[in-house]
Amino acid sequence: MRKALVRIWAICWYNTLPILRNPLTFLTIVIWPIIPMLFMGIFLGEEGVRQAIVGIIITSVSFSGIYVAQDYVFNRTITKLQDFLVASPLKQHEYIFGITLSSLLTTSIAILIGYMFMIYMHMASLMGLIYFTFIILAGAFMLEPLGFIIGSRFDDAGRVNGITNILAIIFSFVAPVYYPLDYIPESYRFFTYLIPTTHIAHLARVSLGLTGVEGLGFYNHIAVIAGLTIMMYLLGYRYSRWREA
Amino acid sequence: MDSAVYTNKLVKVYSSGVRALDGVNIEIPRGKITCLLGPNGAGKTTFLRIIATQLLPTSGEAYVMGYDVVEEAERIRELIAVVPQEGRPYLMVTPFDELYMGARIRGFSREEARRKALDILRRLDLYEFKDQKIIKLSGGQRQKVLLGRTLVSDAEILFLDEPTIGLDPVSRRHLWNDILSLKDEGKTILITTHYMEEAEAIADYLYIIHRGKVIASGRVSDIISTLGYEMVVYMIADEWEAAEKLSRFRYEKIGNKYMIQVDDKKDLFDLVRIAVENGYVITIKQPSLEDVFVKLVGGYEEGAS
Repeated sequence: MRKALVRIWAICWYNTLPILRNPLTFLTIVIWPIIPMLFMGIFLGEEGVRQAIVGIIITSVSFSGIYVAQDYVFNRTITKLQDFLVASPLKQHEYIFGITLSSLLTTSIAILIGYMFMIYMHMASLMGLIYFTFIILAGAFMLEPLGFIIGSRFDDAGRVNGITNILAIIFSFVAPVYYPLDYIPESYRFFTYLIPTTHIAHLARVSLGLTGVEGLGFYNHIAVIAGLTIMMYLLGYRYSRWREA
Repeated sequence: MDSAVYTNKLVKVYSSGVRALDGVNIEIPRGKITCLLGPNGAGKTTFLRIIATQLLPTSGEAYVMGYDVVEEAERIRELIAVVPQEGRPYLMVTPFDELYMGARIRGFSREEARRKALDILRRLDLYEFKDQKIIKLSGGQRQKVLLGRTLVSDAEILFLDEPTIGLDPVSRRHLWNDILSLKDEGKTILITTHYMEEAEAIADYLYIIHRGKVIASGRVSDIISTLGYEMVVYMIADEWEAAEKLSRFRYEKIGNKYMIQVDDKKDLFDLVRIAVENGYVITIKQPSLEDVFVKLVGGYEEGAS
């Protein structure tokens, strides 16, 4: 067990090091969460900043899941790190945990910045914050396998980058992530319900008291998140490649 | 089973229908360097990936240190380490990072991993570059980093898939020395290559693979002796009459270069005379692995006899 944890941490750290050793990438990760807050603050005032903070955190969580695909395909087809790892005592689930942790570690900077602003602006009670954190973790748990599914289906890193960027736009900007769900007309809401981040963002806003519980209703949103999570893991298990057939 | 790797009638057919291995029987002895030589697409990497537990075979048997590659892959993974074909280290990390993380991934403690990484860096002459980003290192040094990442594992068996591909001759020779020194430590090494001189320089045993089949195997000297002739004469002649002048000899031709197999001295003198009289460029040498390879794998225009 101890060796397994050492291996998971090693993979996580190994996958994170190139970003930490690249100051410009690191700077981008730190700066980007401030930009939506700045613009939404300028045009919408304090309420805009509140909505932007939720948006940043949800976007970061979804990025951490989606962009796993890029690491996964890069390690499999470009560096051939996966071949090196398969022929070692490292297990497939340890590798997946390690890469996922690394992705969360990288995006946690933006999430931490969001939390700092939330506390500074007194956006939530302690219970609200705990509830919010729980929703965020559920979202992260749901979206992490997505990257592995995408990364497994394609061997071309360029194509994977394109797909993940499109998904990032859909998950962050087409879904009501930077604004409440009730801003979307009833007749169009069905389409946004198809996007996983819609449900996470809505429940996150409910937990902070930024919107009412309408939408599909509290339990239905929970059920959708649970259903999507199970589906993602089943697909992830089905498609992820370790030893090839 | 005393061999490090043993395969029996190993077959791999990809989903695309390509038959990459077609009944391969290979036995790799412990503590030696065995080389798989073959042209691109011969099936070398497929074979290596199967015994390195990265790829499942379609049929046949394969054992590494007596463990079945299909059923006992996890036992095998404790004993092996791989340099993948065209593998690349992360460019923004340092050689020390690569080796240290390589050791940590094998489950070594921080202190052990650090000690092993520094030892291997010294050994591979990378110590002075240990804190430089890999992006600043040469191709040969990057390849050494990959070799180092496998060495920190302390694995008994090393699988090196075309480790010198793309390297300049000097870097290639440095890497050969590193690989040869591993044999002295009792490591079993399987190396795939399509460089003849590499196989001749470092292999104790050799398997030549072509179109998924083993077409020759044994010690390098034994394989060369199977050619059955004493000398090889290369003659460069660009006039069309050359073929006629050489018609009584056994030759193969590529472009304007003739490779002539010579068994007795009289033929050799005759060839020198033809070259001098006609102004052809002539080179005389003992048969090499390349000559065997050309003969076995073919691809050359057949000679007169």
